[in-house]
Amino acid sequence: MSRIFRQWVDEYQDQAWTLARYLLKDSAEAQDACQEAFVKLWKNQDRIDPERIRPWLMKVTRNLCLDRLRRRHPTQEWQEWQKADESPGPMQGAQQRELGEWLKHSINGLTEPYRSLVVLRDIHQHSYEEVANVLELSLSQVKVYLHRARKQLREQLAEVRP
Amino acid sequence: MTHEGHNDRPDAKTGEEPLLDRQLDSLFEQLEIEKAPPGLTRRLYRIPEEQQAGQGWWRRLLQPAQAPRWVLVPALAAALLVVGVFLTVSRQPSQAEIFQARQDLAVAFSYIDKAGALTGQEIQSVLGGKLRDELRDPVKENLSKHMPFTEQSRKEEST
Amino acid sequence: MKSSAIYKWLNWSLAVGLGALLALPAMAQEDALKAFPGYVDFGELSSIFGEPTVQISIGSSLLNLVGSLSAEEDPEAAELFRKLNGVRVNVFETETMAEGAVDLVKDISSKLSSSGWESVVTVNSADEQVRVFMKINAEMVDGITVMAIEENEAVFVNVIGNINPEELKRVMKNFDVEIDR
Repeated sequence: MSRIFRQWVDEYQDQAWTLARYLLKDSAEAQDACQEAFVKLWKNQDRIDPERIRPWLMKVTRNLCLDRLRRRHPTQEWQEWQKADESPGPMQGAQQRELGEWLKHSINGLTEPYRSLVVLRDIHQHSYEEVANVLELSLSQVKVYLHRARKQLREQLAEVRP
Repeated sequence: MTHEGHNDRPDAKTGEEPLLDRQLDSLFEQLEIEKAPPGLTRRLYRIPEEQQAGQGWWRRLLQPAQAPRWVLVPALAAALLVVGVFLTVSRQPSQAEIFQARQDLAVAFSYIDKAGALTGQEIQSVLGGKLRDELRDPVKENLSKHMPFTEQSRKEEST
Repeated sequence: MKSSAIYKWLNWSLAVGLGALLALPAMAQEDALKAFPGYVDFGELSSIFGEPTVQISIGSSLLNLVGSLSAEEDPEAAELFRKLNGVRVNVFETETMAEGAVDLVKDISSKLSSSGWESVVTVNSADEQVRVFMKINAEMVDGITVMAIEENEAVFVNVIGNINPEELKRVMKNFDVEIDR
């Protein structure tokens, strides 16, 4: 059982880490959230369809990250803490103005669930069905929200590109 | 609905949007899934060991993959034999089992108390008395540390 | 390859056999409790919630012994435990309100109501569902059932026996056991 679990770690840790970093920004917290998610995977492995480990893990990781964000802002309304956080994304560097870095920054500027949508669909390359499962949205909601997120990014890109 | 043959959407200029979309797509391609740090990988690899460390010997026996195969088969056969003999002889519960039962009862009572914490007045009047209010002793304080439902722990969580 | 397949089969069947043997006393005890009017069949909880994080089933003999241990300093507790037939607890950890959980609670509640159980507490909200039922027989209670579902935990408690709620209240108050969870 731990051999299979190790395979899951090898296969999915990077995606869980990337998602957690985009959501939490803080590396130490993202690591803690990832560990919590994999502990839950260990405890619940018997009841998860092996074909659905990835969306299950992404859903749990995201929910754990959102719980941590809520605890950071306990007195604020949901909409307030959902607001864009201006701090840079997972990789800071000297080349912030490079468009690729700009995109990361912009993704971090998206509110939820748009941020998770873009990370899962455009970076992780999950299918629409998987994204819908992770975010507990309908397929049509995923497509509509993704369209809105990309529209927002497109408008920002139109302003900054040379 | 169109107006003078143009699309109504404010940001639409001919050819602009698809170009931006293509540019966005190529930027997305630059973004990679970030590699998890080695420290995290080590922590994740340790999870099975850490989780099993808290389990009883009987549970570890039911996870055959943990033991080398050459040990496993005779070990399980021996365990079955011992358990089979053990169960055929009627026995009184041991002190440890009685102690465990007391612990389990305290857990059960704490969950009944939890219903009171969630519902307030109603359960007090039915079970005859100020059930929740009277449980102001070290037990309740200990329980609130460990049980997520008691009123004290809920207050602590919300502050 | 072939020997590893044989090993795999052997391991599996031995594990199943061991599990079955170990489960026999628990199953027998559970079966014995079903005969009592205060027993509640919660149905297949695992199919909705998965494996329980806490699972307790204490029968009358252990309850008697627990009571007899405290007979000197707490004769009331001894008397209460002597009259109890069983205590069952199932606790499940959940990510969100599990799908089907609310329907399950309503289903069990409706069955209890139609078989003589009295509803004493109902909480119906989007993030909390609580039901407390009692099976009342003259001035005594044959059973108490607590079902509570929150976003991250689902709890099912069934106390079976000849219960005096006042005695239960006093015993719960005095039951000072350290919980190490």
